[in-house]
Amino acid sequence: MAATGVNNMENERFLRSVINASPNAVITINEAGEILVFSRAAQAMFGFGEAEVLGKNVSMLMPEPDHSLHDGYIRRYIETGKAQIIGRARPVMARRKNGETFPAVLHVSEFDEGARIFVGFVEDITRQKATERRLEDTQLQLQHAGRIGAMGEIATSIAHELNQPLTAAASMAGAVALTLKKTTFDGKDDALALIDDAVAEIRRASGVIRQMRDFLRNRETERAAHPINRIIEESCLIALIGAETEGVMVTSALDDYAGAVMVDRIQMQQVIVNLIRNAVDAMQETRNKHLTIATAKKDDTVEIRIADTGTGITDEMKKRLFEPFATSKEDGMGIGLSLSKSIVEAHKGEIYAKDNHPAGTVFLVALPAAKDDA
Amino acid sequence: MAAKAKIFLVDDDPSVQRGVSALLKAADYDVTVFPSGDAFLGELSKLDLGGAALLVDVRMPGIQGLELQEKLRSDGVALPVVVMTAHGDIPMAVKAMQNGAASFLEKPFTVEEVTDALDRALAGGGKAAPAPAALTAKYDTLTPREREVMLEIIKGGANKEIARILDVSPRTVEVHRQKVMTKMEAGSVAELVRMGLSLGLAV
Repeated sequence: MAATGVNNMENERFLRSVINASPNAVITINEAGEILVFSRAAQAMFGFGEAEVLGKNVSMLMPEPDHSLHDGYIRRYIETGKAQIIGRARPVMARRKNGETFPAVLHVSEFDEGARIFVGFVEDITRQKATERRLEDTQLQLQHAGRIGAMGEIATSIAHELNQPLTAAASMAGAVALTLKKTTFDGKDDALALIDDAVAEIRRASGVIRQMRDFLRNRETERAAHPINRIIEESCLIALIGAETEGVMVTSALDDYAGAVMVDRIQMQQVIVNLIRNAVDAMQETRNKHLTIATAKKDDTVEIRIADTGTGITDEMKKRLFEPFATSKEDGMGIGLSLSKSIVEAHKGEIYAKDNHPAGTVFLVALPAAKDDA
Repeated sequence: MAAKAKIFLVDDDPSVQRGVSALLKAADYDVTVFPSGDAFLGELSKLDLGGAALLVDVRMPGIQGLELQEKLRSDGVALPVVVMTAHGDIPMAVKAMQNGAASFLEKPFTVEEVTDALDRALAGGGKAAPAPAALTAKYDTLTPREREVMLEIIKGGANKEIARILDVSPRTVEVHRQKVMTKMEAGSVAELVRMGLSLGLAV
C-alpha cells in the first residue's frame, strides 16, 4: 500500500512536469467550468498566478461573447453530446489578466475520471497573426503600387506615341504659317490666327498627357535604408504565394554582409516579386526547375541575382526586353520589366538580363549600397 | 544673302521628319533628314559640318540621341546639338545639357522655340554662353531657400526628396517650387533646367 502511494506521488509529479513542460498553455476544467490545472505556460500566457485561477470559472480567460456564453457551451455539450469544439483546433480570442485580448488556437480534449474533465491546449498566435497581417498589407500595397506603376508606364508610353504625331502636326502647321507670312491674300491674318490656335490646341493636348504622366509618375516615394536581405525574403514569400511553384526548387544564397540599400521598400519589392514570378513562369514547361535568389555586396554596390533554369529569352526578345508592351507571355501586358527598369533606374541602379548556363535566364539588379549608418 | 544654316534632323518618325523639316525649310534652314542615329553616323564623314547644327530625338531604335551626342563629343566632332524629347524627361534633359547639348526641346514645340534653340546653338550659345542679364536679374530675386529648391528641382528631385534633403516639409517645398517657377517665369521644369544650366548652377 505504501509503495503504491509513493508511485502515485511520483506519477503525479511526473504528470505535473509534463504539463509544465508544454510550450502551449494547458488548462483543465470540470463540468462546472472550474479551473483544475493551470500550467506554467498558461500562467505566462495569461499573466495569472495559479492561486488566482484555481477553482475559478474558466470564462475569466475569455473576452465577450464567449465569456458569458461558455457555461452554456458546456451545458449544451453535456446535454446533447454534440461537440462544437472538442477534438478540433479552433481559432479563438483569449483574454489576459491585464484585459488585453489576443488571438489563439484552442484544442480541447475530454476524459472521464468518474467526472468529466476537459483539457484545453492554448497556443498564442499573436506573432503569426502580426506576420500574416504585415504580409497581407505588403501584398495590398504591392498590388496598389503595381497598378499605379503600370499606369505610369502606360502613360509614359502613350505620351511618346502621341507626342510624335502632335509634334508632326504642330510643325506642319508652323510651316504653313511661315509660308503664308511671305505671301499676301485676303483673310491672311485670320488664317494665321487660326493656325496659331491650332498649334495652341495641339500643345494643350500634349499638356493633358504630360499632366497625367506627371501625376502617375511623380507620386511620392518613401526612401529609407532597408536591409536588402529582408526585402528579398519578404518578396520571396509574397511572390511564391499563389504562384504555380510545384516542383520548383528554390535556393537562396543571401550574403550576410549584403547590408542595406536606400530604397522605397514597396517599389523595390515590386521589382523583386516581378522578377521571381517571371522566373517561375519561365520554368512552367521545363523539367529542371531551379530558382536561385542571391545577394552579394560588391564595393559600393549591392547585387541581387535571380536565376532560373527556364526556357530562356530569344535574341529577338532580348532587344526589347525592357520596353513597354513587349511581352512573350500570352496573358502578359509587357509592363512588368519596363516598370522594374524605371524603378531601378530611379534608384540610380541598373537592371539587366543574361543567359543562364546551361539553360534559362539570370536577372541582375545592382543598387548603390546605403552609406554606413553613422 | 548669307548661306543658309544647315540642320541635320535625326528622328525615326516619318511624320515628324516631314513636319519638322517642312517647318525648318519654311524658316529658311537647309535641312537634311536622317531616320536614325546610325544613318547619321554612316554619312558623317561626307557631311560638311561648317555652320551646321544637329537636331536629334532622344529615343530612337538603334543608337539613341544621348549616345549619339556622347559619341560625337568623344570623337571630337564639333557640331552643336539640340536634343528633342517626347517624354519631357528631366534627368534626361539634365544629362543632355551636361554632355554639352546647346539646348533641349520638349515635343511638341512652336516655331519660335525650335528656331530660337537652333539659332542659339548655331551662334555657339548654350551652356558656355554667359547668362543673359535678364535671366540673372530674375535669379537675383530668389531667396536663398528658393535657390536651394531650384537647384534640387534641376537635379530632378521630387518634392518629398527635396523636403528630406533640405529638412523641411513637402508642403513647404511645394510653396517654394511655385515661387521659383513664377519668379523665373519658367513654363516647365525643362525650361527651368535650361535656365539653371545657363546660369552655371552646378548639377
